[in-house]
Amino acid sequence: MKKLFILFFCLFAFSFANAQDFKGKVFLLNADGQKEPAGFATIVCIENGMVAEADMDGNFTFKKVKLEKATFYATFIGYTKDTVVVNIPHEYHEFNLKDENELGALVVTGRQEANYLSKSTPVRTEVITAAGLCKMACCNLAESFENSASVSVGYSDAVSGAKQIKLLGLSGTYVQMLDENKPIMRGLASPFGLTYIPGQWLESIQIAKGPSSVINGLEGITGLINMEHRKPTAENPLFVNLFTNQELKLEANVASSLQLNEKWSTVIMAHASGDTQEHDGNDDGFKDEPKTLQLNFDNRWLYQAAPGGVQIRFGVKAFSDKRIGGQMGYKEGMNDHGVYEAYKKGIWGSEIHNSGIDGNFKLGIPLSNEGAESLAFVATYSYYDMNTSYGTKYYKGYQNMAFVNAMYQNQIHENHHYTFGIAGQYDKIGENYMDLTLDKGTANVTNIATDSHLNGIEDKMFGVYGEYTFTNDKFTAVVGARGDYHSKGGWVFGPRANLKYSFTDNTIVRVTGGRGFRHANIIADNLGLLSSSRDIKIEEDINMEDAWTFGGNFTQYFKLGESENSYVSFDYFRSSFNNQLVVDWDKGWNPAINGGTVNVYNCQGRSFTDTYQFDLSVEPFKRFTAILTYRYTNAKVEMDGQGLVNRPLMSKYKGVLNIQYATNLNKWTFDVTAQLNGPAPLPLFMGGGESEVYPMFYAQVTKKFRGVDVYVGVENIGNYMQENPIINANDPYANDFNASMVWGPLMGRKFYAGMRLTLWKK
Amino acid sequence: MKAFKIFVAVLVATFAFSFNAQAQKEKKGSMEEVTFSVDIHCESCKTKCEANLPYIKGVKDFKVDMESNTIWFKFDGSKVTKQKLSSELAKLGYPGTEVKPENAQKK
Repeated sequence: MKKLFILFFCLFAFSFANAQDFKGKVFLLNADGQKEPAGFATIVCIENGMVAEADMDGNFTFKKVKLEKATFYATFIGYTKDTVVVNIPHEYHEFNLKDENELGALVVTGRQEANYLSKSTPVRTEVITAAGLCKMACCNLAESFENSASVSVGYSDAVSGAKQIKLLGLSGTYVQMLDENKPIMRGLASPFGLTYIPGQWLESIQIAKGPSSVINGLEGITGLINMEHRKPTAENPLFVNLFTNQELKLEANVASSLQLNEKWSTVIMAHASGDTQEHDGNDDGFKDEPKTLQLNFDNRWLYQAAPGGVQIRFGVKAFSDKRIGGQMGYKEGMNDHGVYEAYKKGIWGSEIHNSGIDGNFKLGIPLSNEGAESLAFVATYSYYDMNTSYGTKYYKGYQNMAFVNAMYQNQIHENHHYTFGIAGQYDKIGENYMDLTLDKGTANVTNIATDSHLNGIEDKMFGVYGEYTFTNDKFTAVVGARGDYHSKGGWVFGPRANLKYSFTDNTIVRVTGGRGFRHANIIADNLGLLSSSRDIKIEEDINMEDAWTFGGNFTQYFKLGESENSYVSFDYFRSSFNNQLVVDWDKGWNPAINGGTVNVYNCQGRSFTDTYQFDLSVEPFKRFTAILTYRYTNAKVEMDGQGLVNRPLMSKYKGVLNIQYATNLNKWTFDVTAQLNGPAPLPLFMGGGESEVYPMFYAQVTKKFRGVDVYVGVENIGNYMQENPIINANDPYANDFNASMVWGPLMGRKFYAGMRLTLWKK
Repeated sequence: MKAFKIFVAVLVATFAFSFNAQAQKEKKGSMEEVTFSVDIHCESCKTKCEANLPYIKGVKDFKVDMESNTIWFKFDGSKVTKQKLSSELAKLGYPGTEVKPENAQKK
């Protein structure tokens, strides 16, 4: 019975397949009228993309064509295409290809550069491409800037593993983060936000210095970082990345871009990572990095009615993250309320549980055929939950944020474009902060210190804006203004301008200026406040931060060796605050009790930073590129009782040299990066002075196979680590314990290896 | 200083290795060139080609140019034919026609 079934099945399968085969022969018709078989010609089915290769006599067969009607064409070099539409089953077709003479211009370009300065944008914009993101381990966004001197990345504190960026000599909180031009990482989501964007999900990152456009709000003061994710339209049905390092950090990324039909496409991205082991490389009793478990998911959809027609994008993303840090003996749950097991055992620990969900929608409607007139609408909603404990400090927060933006674009003339828009934003942050005093013997709570300034904020914002763009061959001007009404803070008004002049195609000058505003979030912007024994003293209501940034850039592109796009560039930017939140570790320091308070207040005097940067990118010989950048920052702030001082913990300079060599066809890629990190002023309570100057070296080798890349590398080759990053690590419940004075690397030399698998749509 | 020495050692090793790898590739042979005119209109198409074309046996070098919609190949004629290259391009979704060298205009 079984055999009979198999036989029947085979017969059925065979007849089914046979009935749908398409066979034929391809001929070449030469100029003299002769007809000859086209051996090894190519035949393509347009509908399903199947490709057949003819044999040496020009015969071909398509098996199992699952279509009723199909379009096939045959091609052969030097001959015109021949196309036919057939109903399947169709027995046989003869293609006849005629001799042709086609003209074509030949221009060749190089391979994709990894980091470059954009020629076209009016704002000075540094682009890190997918190739650039593959130069290093780049586990997440925070690690994607190692080759950039514009952006420095450092730890917020020595226990949470949270990383913070700095741009133009100021904290990353003054940079507006955008996910495909939608604002993200605001409020509570900012301290860990960079860690929650897996580097392998990204297609490119654009770092724009200066105040930029008014379209997405006024929150970007020093600049804007926009991330482009993998696209629904990408022809990669499957991408898998696996990564591990010597300390058994494990990471996996999966992405799939699917084109369901001509109108609908989607991309699904998932990430899982974990630091599975506890390490204490510097023997201070504390884990160098917390044990973590992080899960991220992102699904984006694109609906495109027709090329150049209505476009809808929407998506949802969610994540959860758990971080268990602190002393080596600390285990999850030991800080739980009512138990205070860690305190009883004299172990200091930190626990961070973050989760969030985000939905977004974007609609673009072209109103004229040329695409000059259009309407766009963007809406996003996000929920974020944060539950943390640092020793006996407990901080819980949640936030609901909604953002809508509607804009109309049109042109008066080819050279004159304008945009008008209205926007709304709703931010509700709930906070609960408790600094417990526990009884040494029983661990009973004897006192709860809190602060009325840490009870969250609710702000409704309504804004109107307009922006005018003039472009011609040489000159681009983008001038905009925006007025926002905040239910907490009233009206704020920000004008912004970006001008670009190209003396030639290769000589570009840019000038920029504008104003920005933001609500400071005391804890989220200064997470390090929690990882010290100091009491937090918020002296007054914190006003909106308000600053002007001005700057300029000169870029000269030139031909050197292999590249016509070698460049040298100079930048100068100045940010000057009308009001800024100051976190002062010195004002309330009390050596008598080895601690005291950390004071938070509105800056009463001046606060400004000057940043100078030099960039050089060359390709002196084929596939060998070198990028050299150097940044110098002079950051000053007026602190109570100290006057105008250098901003503490802000490194004065950073130099980066990246060298890449790729073998023919980029099958092997070798990358080495050297950084020199300048000294950072230390707070007076640490004795003042400056931190050490330290170098960092990175190297990576990538081998590409068809569809698979394998890479191995080393981070921090010199094994440089900040000595004693935690003050009084031996006695964490003492008053002078402080884990937030971090200026250098916490992790030593690390070897890592990973692979990327990419399937391409056939 | 120790860090610097390690760094220099890695640098030297890296380049010694890479140039060696390169040297092995440069063998004499029947090198040929061909340029195809293809409908290649987006950055992702270029990426797709750049990810796949190096692995066709016999391909020694190639360049994808979106401005002129062409793909140029340098290949070992004893290992691969123009027709095979054309068929591989078609398999990727970019069927093309050869641009005859005598007609090609260099910008």
